[in-house]
Amino acid sequence: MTTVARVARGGWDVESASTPIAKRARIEQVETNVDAPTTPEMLFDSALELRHESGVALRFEAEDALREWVKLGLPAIEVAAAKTWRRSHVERFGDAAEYDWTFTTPYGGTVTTTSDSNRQPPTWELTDRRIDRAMLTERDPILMYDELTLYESELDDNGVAHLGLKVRVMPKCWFVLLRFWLRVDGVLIRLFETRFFCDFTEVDRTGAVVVVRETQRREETWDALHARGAPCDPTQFPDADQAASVLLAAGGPVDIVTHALTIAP
Amino acid sequence: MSHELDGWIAALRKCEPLEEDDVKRLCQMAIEILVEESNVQTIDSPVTICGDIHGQFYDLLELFKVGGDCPDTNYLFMGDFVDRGFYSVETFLLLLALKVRYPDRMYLIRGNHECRQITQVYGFYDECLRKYGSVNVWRYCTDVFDYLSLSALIDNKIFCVHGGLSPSITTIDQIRTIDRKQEVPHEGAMCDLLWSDPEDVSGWGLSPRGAGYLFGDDVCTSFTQTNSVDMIARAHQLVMEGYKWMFNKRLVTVWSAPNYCYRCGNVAAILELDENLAHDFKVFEAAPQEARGVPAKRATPDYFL
Amino acid sequence: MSHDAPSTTAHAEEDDAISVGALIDDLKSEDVELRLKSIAKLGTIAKALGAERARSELVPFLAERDDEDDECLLAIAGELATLIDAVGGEEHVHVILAPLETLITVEETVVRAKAVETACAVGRAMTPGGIGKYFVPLIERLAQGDWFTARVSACGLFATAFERSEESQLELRNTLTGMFRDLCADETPMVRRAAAQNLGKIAIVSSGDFIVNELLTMFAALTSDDQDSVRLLVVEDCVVLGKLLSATDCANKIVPIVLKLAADKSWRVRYAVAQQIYEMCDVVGAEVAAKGLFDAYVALLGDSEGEVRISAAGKISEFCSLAGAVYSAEKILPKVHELANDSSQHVRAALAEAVLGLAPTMGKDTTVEKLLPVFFILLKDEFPDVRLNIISKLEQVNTVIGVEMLSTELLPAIKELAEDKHWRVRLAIIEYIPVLAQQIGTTFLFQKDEGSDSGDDLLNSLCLQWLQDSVYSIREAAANNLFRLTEIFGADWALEYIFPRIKELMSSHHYLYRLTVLRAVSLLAPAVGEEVILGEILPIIKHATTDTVPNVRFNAAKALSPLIKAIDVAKFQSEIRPILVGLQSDPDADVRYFASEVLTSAA
Repeated sequence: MTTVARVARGGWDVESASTPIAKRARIEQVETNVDAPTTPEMLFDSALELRHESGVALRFEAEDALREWVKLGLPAIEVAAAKTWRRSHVERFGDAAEYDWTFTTPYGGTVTTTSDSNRQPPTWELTDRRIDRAMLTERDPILMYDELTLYESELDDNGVAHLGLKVRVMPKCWFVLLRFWLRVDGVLIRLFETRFFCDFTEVDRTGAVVVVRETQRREETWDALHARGAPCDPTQFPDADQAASVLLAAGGPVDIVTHALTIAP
Repeated sequence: MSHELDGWIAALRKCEPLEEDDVKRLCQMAIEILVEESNVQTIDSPVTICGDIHGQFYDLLELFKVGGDCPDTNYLFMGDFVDRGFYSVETFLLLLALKVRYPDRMYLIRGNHECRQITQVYGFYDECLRKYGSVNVWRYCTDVFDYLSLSALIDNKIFCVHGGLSPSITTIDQIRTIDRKQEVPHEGAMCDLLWSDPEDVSGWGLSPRGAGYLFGDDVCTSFTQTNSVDMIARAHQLVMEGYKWMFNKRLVTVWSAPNYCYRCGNVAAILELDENLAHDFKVFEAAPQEARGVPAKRATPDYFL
Repeated sequence: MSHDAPSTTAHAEEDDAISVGALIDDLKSEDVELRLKSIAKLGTIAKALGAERARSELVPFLAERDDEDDECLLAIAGELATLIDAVGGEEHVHVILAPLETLITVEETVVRAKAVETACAVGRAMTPGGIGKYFVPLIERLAQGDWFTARVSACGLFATAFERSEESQLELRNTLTGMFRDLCADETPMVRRAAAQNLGKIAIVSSGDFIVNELLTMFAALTSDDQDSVRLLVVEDCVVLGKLLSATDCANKIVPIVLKLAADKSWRVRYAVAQQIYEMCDVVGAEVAAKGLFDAYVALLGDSEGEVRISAAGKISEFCSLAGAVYSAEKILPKVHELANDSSQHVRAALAEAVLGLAPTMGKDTTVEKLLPVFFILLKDEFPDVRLNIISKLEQVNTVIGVEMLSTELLPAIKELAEDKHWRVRLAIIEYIPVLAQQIGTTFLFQKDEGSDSGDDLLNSLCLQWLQDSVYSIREAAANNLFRLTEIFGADWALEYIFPRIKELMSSHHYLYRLTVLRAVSLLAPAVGEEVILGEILPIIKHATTDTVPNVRFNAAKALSPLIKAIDVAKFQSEIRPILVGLQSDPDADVRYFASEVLTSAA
């Protein structure tokens, strides 16, 4: 059963749809489309789309995220028990298939334009702009709110990989938090947070609105966390929210990059 | 004894947890019965085969409404009774109490979640601590896990196991020689039976994670021929449709947790075998929301940053 | 709150010195559990101390005590109420306000609410003079508090102050009125919300004049509050005030407010109105409600927010019965059609639950012409809950259009739903069959089913097919259904139509279907008499005791139990006992167990 939330505000039409997990046929279709040997066992057809009146739209969906996963193609990491396994396996059966089974994706949303708008989709450019956090902490009414999971895997009980997002639309702005969250028990933790912000009351000299995108990437090995005295028991990191606060407190390395998407009127 | 057990079963059916002392006694009785069972438990048809339940208690009640109550219907549950759902304690204890009360009507074999290490990460340990204020109940239950059988053989024709096959196992007799009364090891035959997955590979593949086996059609065919069984029934993997045939219907995955983790929206299935081994999948949906106590509400708005 | 049984006086006095010391030590303890335990004894200790010492030692100690644990604070706030009777009556009871005053201003909402509740109980035990001297000054201090928690708590004390003061204490009452007016206009929304919540309570203890002259002006300000959380609380007050005012005042002063809120820009406020509007109409009566309130309700049925439509749709039958057939047909029925095609399945489910209740108001002709089409739309809804809600309420329509007509109209739909893929829908249909049968008689069951090539009648195509349903619960219900039909039509009917067919089922290759037959015959036994039991049922069960599947054998043993109760002892000894004795040496443990159980209970 699909549930839909939708609101229109400030030239934006925001619509989210959440669905049950995809059936076999759809999963096979995605595997073919993104050219991957497998996909996460919980693959949702859920999607968020923010459509601007200019015809430009920002969309979030599992299939494009998985395409980015295949493109990134991180080397395979090994679970804690792998060393002994690999040795005994290779002796008997030869090499194992290797690919990034953690489904790690650098996905930063999909920018499209409607077919009738006759324009090229704008691209993300590096920027000095920043997300207006003061505006986001104001307790303006939330006109629309939703949380979606795009895909999730239990990694065969070796942890969790989860790509999900939260969205809120307010009278003057909208805000999306897209997160890829990975925990491989006993090995590492990875949290990619991408924030999308648009103050649609503000237009530049040309009348364009700007979407700011801030990417923060954190990754910690279990050993590094342990060495700094941070908790490294999997139950301390049950979901992205709690992982985020522990990682922040642990104060490890973080990569931050900010881009802007300028949408001409 | 049966009177007391009937009382426990009645309470558990209402999702009321047992007193800690009663759990202790139930677990002791269960061990006395399970210790007598073989690693390959022999079962006569008719019997209904069920896959993962994962603490989804009200969905287990729904399963019984569709498949029939125990002892009227005979059951084999292929492991993963606990973790992830909200009611692992009630789910496992109800199944265990039915096992003790009707040992010939209810069969339970071990899943990879019936293990100390996994339950400490995926919910059962925390649930015991939350509901009882101590981990004693978790200890009693995990002690029972060590005695659960590893597989079952129905009418010598259908081989049932939680995960799948193992490169260390060619004949069913080899399974009988495993010393199973221990925590699930990190490698070896016992581990493989509970962890491995069928896959479109040729021969044996290593999981890309670097631990755990994948087995292909040829492996499945050779196992069924060597042991003159018709097919393998297993659980362990989420299937949106509740069940999934593979390898020319020589292997079937049965998944019995509808709307897994309360958000997947999948249906569940059980495999009903009559006394002539004719099979029929019963597909069912999650129990109606109101019966469950989990609010269906949309996520509440928050000022996340 | 435990009150230990009073021991003898001599003993009690000896224990006192020890108990008070121990209590005070425990109250200071680091251990939360210990503190909680001693708090629970406060009432008992106070009684034992006597009024004087309770006032001079215990209460001051409690007032100075500064606990940091919310659980302890909550316990104290509650337990202080047990001191009311122990400090020496209405002249002295005000001393308890001192320890309460700190609790009333803490941050934790639950503690504050409990403290306010206890303070009101204290207030109710005070004299009017005491109210003026101690209670109102407490309210004054709180109402001027810097921190909003104090002002929120103050709002909760007014009703008690008004109730316990006398009309003659004019100045006092003016002070109270002034303070409450200020709180209604407080800068913090939480305070205004508390004021809105308590306005109705004050009204209940006030005179009509006071309500009209004072409360309504404060109330009017709250109804235009810029916070929707305040406005939605006002909705409930409308009903309370409406009940207290004269019909004219209500129509002139309250109804316009309800109408304004019904069109509020916040859906949460409109939702609150949808929840309350029927009661409001009930209070003012149909004549006044017809001037606006009914139209407001119709608008809520078409609200843009699904939650509001769900709430409004749920009240539809009460509304129609109040509004009458003419208004309902003209204004509400068109909305019913819209709602039956609503985009939200939850709205349609809410409508399905309530819509059949319209039939009595609409009368036979309108029901057939206008409502039946809606029922059919809902019966075919893609969402199973919608179908289920309609079927489980079908009985309500019987009396209006006659069950015969209903069954002719519905038969095709029933036939379709009898094979619904959701088993709960099939279950609802089964449970409806005896109701139809009771009223129409056997003709209904033997009606030829035109959709079926074999020309099967309904009994065969449905009632007996359900016995072979793939879902266990349906087979159980089907067995029970046969019993209910036999109760209605009698043993001869069962003998002629049921038994030949269920005997065939006994040769099913599937043990679960054979179990269903056993279930059916054991249910039928009490309804058919000894002759049929011995001639028809016993042979079926006896045959089942030799089944190859143990589950069938022990269910055969269980099925013998109701037979034993229905036949005479000699027959039991000669016909049934030997079967059970034989089963006691069955190779299967469960068969032996159930055979013995049945034998034991027969003896």
